[in-house]
Amino acid sequence: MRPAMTIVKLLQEVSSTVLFTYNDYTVNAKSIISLLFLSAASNAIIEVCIEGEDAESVMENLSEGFSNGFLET
Amino acid sequence: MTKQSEIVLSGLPVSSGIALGKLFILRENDRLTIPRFSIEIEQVEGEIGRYRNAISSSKEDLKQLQSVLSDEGANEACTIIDTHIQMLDDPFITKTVEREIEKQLQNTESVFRAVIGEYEKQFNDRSDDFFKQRLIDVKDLSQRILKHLHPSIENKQALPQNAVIFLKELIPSHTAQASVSKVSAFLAEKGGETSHAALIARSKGIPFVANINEVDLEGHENASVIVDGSEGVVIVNPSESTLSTYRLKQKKLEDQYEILREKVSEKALTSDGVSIGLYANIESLEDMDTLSEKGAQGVGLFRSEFLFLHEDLYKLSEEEQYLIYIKILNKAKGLPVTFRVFDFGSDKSFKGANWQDEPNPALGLRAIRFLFKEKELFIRQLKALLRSSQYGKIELLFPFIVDLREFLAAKDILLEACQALDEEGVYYEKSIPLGVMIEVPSAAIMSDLLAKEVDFMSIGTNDLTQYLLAIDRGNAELNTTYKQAHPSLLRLIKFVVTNGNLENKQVHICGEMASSPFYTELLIGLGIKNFSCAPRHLPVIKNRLEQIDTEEAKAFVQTIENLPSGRAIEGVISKRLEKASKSQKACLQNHQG
Repeated sequence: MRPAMTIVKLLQEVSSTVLFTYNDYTVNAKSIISLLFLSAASNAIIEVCIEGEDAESVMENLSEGFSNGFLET
Repeated sequence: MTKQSEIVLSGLPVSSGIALGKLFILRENDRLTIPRFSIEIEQVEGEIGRYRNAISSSKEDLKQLQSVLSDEGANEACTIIDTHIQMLDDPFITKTVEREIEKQLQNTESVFRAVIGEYEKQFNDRSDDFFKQRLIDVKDLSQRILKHLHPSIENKQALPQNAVIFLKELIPSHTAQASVSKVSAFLAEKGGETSHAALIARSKGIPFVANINEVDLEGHENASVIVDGSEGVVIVNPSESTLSTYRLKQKKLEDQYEILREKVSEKALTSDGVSIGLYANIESLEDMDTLSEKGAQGVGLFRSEFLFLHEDLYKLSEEEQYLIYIKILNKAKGLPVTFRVFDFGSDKSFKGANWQDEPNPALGLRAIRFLFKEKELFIRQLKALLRSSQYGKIELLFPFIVDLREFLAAKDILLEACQALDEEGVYYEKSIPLGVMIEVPSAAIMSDLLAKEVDFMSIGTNDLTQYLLAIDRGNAELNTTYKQAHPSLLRLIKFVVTNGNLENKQVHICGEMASSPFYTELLIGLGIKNFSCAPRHLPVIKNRLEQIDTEEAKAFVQTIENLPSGRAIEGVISKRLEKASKSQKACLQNHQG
């Protein structure tokens, strides 16, 4: 549950639309309920689509997050 | 009546413990009663408004629930409920449903049900167990929201005492809201060990066995049932010999804490013979029955507002209150009962309350501030309490006091209540001890002045930590930093104790810290001589006290009080406890946190 919550928290203030796709299923990444829905297992490949003004920085933050496994500080 | 034969069922052990009770099958029938009709475009705004109200009522419910669970020391349950609260803000719950209402032009209930239904269906297609569990959380939330949208959907069945409750599927709200005194055990068809409902049942110590089929229980409503939560065994209509076998098993379990039970009636003493007061935090008439069996010397904190959460406080008469207070004092059998006057707030409300919108309920019109504003209500409660004073030993506790002026103002209102009773010719005890909750930093810092005027002080560590460190105690994310043994908190506690000693006034600790044996030595080292917590923790604390030497504890505190953080302090305490003997460690592990 926690990495999902970390992702949602990360994306809360972001103005861009962020979508995650896995197994042909696309969800709003700012919704934790929708993220749970995605039920991607570890090391699964998901497609991230970011559209908006702060898209670049969001992509950077997300990439970093995923590399760190969204560990708590 | 023919003798029923014994039926033995085998299920999945989810929460341990042995229970004996009467079977009660709870049936959910929400699918039948959801209304469905079309709406006009002009009505969309109204429907969305109704939906938003239902969400905010649900939030209030959950925050209240969290408050109760937190005070009971059920931390895991608290975190789970916090997740639910956050889910209520989820765009799926808010935007998606509102969009659908606009699109489909149907009433809120049916749209909501349909959206959740779609979600459920697709979720069920994903067979991973972990995610199935999370779906249950969503279902729980949706049921709660539906209840607020359409109250008639609510299941109004009354529970018998010692009920062993069967449900097809247990949702977290069921276990969270179960009163330990009424519910003996839970049985369900579905419900894994990691489900939130299970976690909550475990954290409350209620036995729970899953994978029991309803079909096997048909026709046995009200039958005697034995539930062995450790083995997953359920026995309907147990024979006499089975009953005695299980009673033996139950005794064996209790014998594991034999030391604790035997010494329950003895006074709590530290290893160097210092006498420590152990009291109970209580919020219902039923829980008063646990006082003597857990070795409480009295009620250190009676949360009076819990008696009337479902009442309209404005309509609640002095007489009704008076009758309940008498019952409580009768059950106390001469032991002192400290009544905290109503501690309501917009996040812990009574029926029919009309709270103004507050940006920060925790900092708002609550507790004593609310009572000052609603003086008539306050006097009514005070009169009822005063009148009940001849039935037992009562003490009065004022919550959320910020400074001496507030205490004196509350005392003045008490005098007004006394005068009213004098005029009516009604008898009451004249010298009732008056105390204040030290839960706002200001009160702790001013405790030197307060100590001169009050009769006692009760340190509410939960709220005090919250306001001291500016951390929302219900926030799961901050939980790791919301460490209880914070150096600032320790300084405040020490200061309050010192001031209490100077004026010869008692200082109590109530709040989670009091209930956990992890902190006992720390609190003793700070000079605390009175603990008040949920009754079920008392035997463990008593046992822990016997291992503590007050002088050593004081010396220990001096080595840790200047550490930079709560985390550092907790680390040192952990290490110190690890060095303790193996049996002590086993006892602590069962009760930590």
